[in-house]
Amino acid sequence: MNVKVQQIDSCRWRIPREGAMRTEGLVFASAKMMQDLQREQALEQVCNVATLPGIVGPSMAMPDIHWGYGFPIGGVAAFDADQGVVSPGGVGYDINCGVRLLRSNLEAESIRPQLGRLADALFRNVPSGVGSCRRDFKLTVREESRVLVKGAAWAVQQGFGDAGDLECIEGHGAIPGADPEMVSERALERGRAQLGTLGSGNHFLEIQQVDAIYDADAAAVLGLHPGQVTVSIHTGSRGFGYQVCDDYLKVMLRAARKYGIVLPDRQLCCAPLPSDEARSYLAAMACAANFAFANRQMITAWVRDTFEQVLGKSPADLRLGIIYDVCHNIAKWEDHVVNGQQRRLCVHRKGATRAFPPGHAEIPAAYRQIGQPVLIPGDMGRYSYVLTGTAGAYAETFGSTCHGAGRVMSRHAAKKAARGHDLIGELAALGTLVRAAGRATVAEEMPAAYKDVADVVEVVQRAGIGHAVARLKPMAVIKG
Amino acid sequence: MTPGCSFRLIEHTADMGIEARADSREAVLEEMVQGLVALIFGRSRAVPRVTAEILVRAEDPVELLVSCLNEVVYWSEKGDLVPSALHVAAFRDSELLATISGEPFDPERHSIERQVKSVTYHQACLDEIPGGWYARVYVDL
Repeated sequence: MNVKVQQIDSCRWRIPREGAMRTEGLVFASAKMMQDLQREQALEQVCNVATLPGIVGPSMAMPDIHWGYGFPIGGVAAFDADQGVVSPGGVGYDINCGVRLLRSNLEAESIRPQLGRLADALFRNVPSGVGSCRRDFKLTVREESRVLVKGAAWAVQQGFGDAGDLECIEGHGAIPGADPEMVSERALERGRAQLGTLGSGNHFLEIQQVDAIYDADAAAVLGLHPGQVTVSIHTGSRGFGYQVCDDYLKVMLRAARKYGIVLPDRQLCCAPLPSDEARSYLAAMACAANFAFANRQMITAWVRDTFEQVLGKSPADLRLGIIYDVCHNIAKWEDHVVNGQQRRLCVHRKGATRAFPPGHAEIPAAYRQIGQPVLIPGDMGRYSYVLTGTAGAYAETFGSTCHGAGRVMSRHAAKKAARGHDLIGELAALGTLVRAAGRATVAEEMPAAYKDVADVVEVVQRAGIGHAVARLKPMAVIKG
Repeated sequence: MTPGCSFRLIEHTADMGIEARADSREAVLEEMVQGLVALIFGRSRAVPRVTAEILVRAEDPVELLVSCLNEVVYWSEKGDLVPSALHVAAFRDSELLATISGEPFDPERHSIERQVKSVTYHQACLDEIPGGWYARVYVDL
């Protein structure tokens, strides 16, 4: 399918309504990105999402857009509460995959001599890779139900962190409406074995240093300064979320037939928001989102323990506090003004981050003056960004922005490009230590496999759907 | 196609796909499982020591294909089974019965190349073509 695009300005492209599309497409991208996009199927996926019933506003894609399955990765779509639908494919398998950023009281140069030991200890203490888990943690059936309802607060109650941590997590670390009765036995079984694990693929744990500050006032509010050590955790709901998604895709395939919804791609299967099928999915999805918040909270506690053990410092000396924790695969009920009218919408963000503006009630009080922190990981060789949400994003993208760099190279192409290279050695020479469960992951996740996240952030800034505050450079990366 | 195989791992920007050709609907599913095992376990080989029954029901054969492959993902993730082969006993339009054989994961002899989150329905197909059958799925990694 040849998708027609019309350039609006230097970073916006319109896909005119055509065929079964109920609305137009809006893609945020530079001219170079658009050239690359026209070689794959992501734009067609923007059009496919535009055919779903009850879509409000355009079918959107952030500048890290790439070919996904059903929705494009980087896709944002909002649906009317009465006429719209919810689609598990618009959330993805890794429900509430997200990023958490910790600040510290450490300077990069002061920990460099112990960096290797820190990386080794984190690799040991935080289970990563397929099948790994902590021997000192076992989740019972009864406790699992509590995880699914309480999210990060459950982990805090078990001693993983403290109550103050919850203040700086999207939704305080739990999505309301979670109902464990809506979750299959198989999802529960997979979840029990995988809570407190990082996973593999593009998930990571990273020690970073603040490399550049773009907005000194906002950085001060977030407690960031040049040379400071930070820690990023990127993971989600693990096998629990994958199983919830898989279970409900089957439900939604039946629902789409039942309600006469024509699907351009089976993966977009969905149900009307007022239906029992939609309510059940949203209750199960909330369980998975809460599982992911608890997962990142447990990993945070093990990161703190590891820093204390290796550096011989107290929690008060380290001050490893949460800057923010934000999800980028989710569907949420939100109120937005559309054409001057307040509307209740179900906003799907598939590889996109919520980016609420200064003054929004859902932003922690400490950050309300600067806007919601937005965490944008890059690749393991270059840098990640801290942004804040803007009024522009709230007005134009239902308060959404990008979620990462976005892949440009297939996994096969990346492995081929990595042949003959000692990637771990080359990254170490550039100042980034890598500890990984498998060499294949390192090859497939090599920096060149991703867009330069700086290009993505530049488009976001130019479009006014995000505001750059700081850039973080990786010092040590733990991969599954 | 990989030499000696009728499946092929196909390109996708973020994920990967599997396609296969064979002379029957049952055989093409068996080949797709070989492709999935290659995607997860790379060149690791398993011998058939244990078996598990797979029974899936769905609205049509494409959904049966995806559901069956997701059963293989589940068994592989549990560590109870590095699959060696799938044998299809009955492949009806809305029900599939098969036996998967293999052996428990042994870190000395098996390695995990990639974790598969799930087999997706995106562009999934199971079509009769001249001289046989063709199947394709994309997996989320």
